[in-house]
Amino acid sequence: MPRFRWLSGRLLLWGAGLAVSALGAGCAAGPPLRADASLPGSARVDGVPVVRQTRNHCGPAALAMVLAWAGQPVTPAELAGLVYLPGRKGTLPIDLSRELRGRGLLAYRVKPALEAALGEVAAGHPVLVLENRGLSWAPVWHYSVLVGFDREAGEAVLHAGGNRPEAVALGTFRRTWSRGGSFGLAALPAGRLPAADDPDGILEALADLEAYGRPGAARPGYLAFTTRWPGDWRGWFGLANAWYAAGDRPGARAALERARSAAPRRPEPVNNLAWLAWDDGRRDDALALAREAAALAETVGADPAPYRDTLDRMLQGE
Amino acid sequence: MRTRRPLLETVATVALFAVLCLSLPTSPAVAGWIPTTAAVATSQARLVSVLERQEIADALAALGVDPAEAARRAAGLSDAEALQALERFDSLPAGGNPFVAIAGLTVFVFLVLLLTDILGYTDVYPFVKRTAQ
Repeated sequence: MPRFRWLSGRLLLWGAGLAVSALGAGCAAGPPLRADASLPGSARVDGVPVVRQTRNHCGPAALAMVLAWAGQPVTPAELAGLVYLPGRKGTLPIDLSRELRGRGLLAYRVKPALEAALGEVAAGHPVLVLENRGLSWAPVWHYSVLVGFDREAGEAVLHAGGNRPEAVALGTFRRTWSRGGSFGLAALPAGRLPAADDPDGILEALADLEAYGRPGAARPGYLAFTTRWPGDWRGWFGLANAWYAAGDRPGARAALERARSAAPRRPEPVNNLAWLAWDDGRRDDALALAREAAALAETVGADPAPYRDTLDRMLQGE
Repeated sequence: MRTRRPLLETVATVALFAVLCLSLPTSPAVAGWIPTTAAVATSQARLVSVLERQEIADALAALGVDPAEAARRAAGLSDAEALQALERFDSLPAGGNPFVAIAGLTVFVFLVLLLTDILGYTDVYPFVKRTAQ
């Protein structure tokens, strides 16, 4: 018995030594949270149910929680058939965003900073996060849903697949999240935009929803975008395309004109206006616009191929 | 009869994949119309071809996903996601259950993780009492 105790004591010491060396510089506390005036002291998102995970199925469970919050309750068992990867005993991040889009939700990739994730939570948006709860050389991958935080108590609140919400030290969560690559998704219902001041990221999520999800669900999102960033031509352009896909040609034309006046040098809105004119049988207008688009493409250094293609098609009478 | 099934299955999968790709509302009816994805692409994202998506579907099927379901998944990826899958499929992290991963670890790593858990550096074991910093 004493020998065993000695051995386990030795092992513990070794472990401690190794742990300390493994921590290295990382053991020092991470950078303090920025004293961001826009970030409240604490926040908690309502309406996210606690969904218990089964073995290996933290992905489907986390997805079920954000879907229920967005008003689309689905069982994790049903989701498992759609996102789980048996050969990897887990779920890939790309399958989660894909599944959200397919259900008409905006899958916005949160910027890889703790403040960004907390900012969404403060705006009432749960964030689906991928953590590496172990070490880089002994990874323990896990999906959770970040639903709250309390900066004074130094805690993050996660729905992590257990029976009840879990309070984790903010410093620990910062480490496990960044060790996992800082992957975080805000899943938002149609027309609702992330709180982040990130027009590029939001537009990319909207365009992906339009192209690889449901175009109809992207339309209210583009509308909200043009309200928030009226000077950004890309929002009007997306709105025009979503309207065009829905068969609303006057709406599409009006939005394209807004895009054009916001960025007179961009060839894209002019190109699509040319096609609208062509559809109306205004052949001369269409050709003039197509030529203008091709010229603009050269001035701004855009790939000229699509604009030449438009012109060629029209000249050949399409 | 039995040996024919894989071939038939492959043909059926490819056909289904083509149908799925065609049914995707990616491009409006007019050729030459510029889609939003082309106008907002910020990164070096490029269009992913149907063949490349078939490659992803095959990889998913090889990992136990039903071929038809694998085709549906590959077709729904955005170009940026599909590129990720094409370039580093094996290194994409698959979030799973911690306890399965732990089962394969040695006592040694168990102790290391236990200590790092106590220090708040990792978050593996639920029985480690967490201390707020």
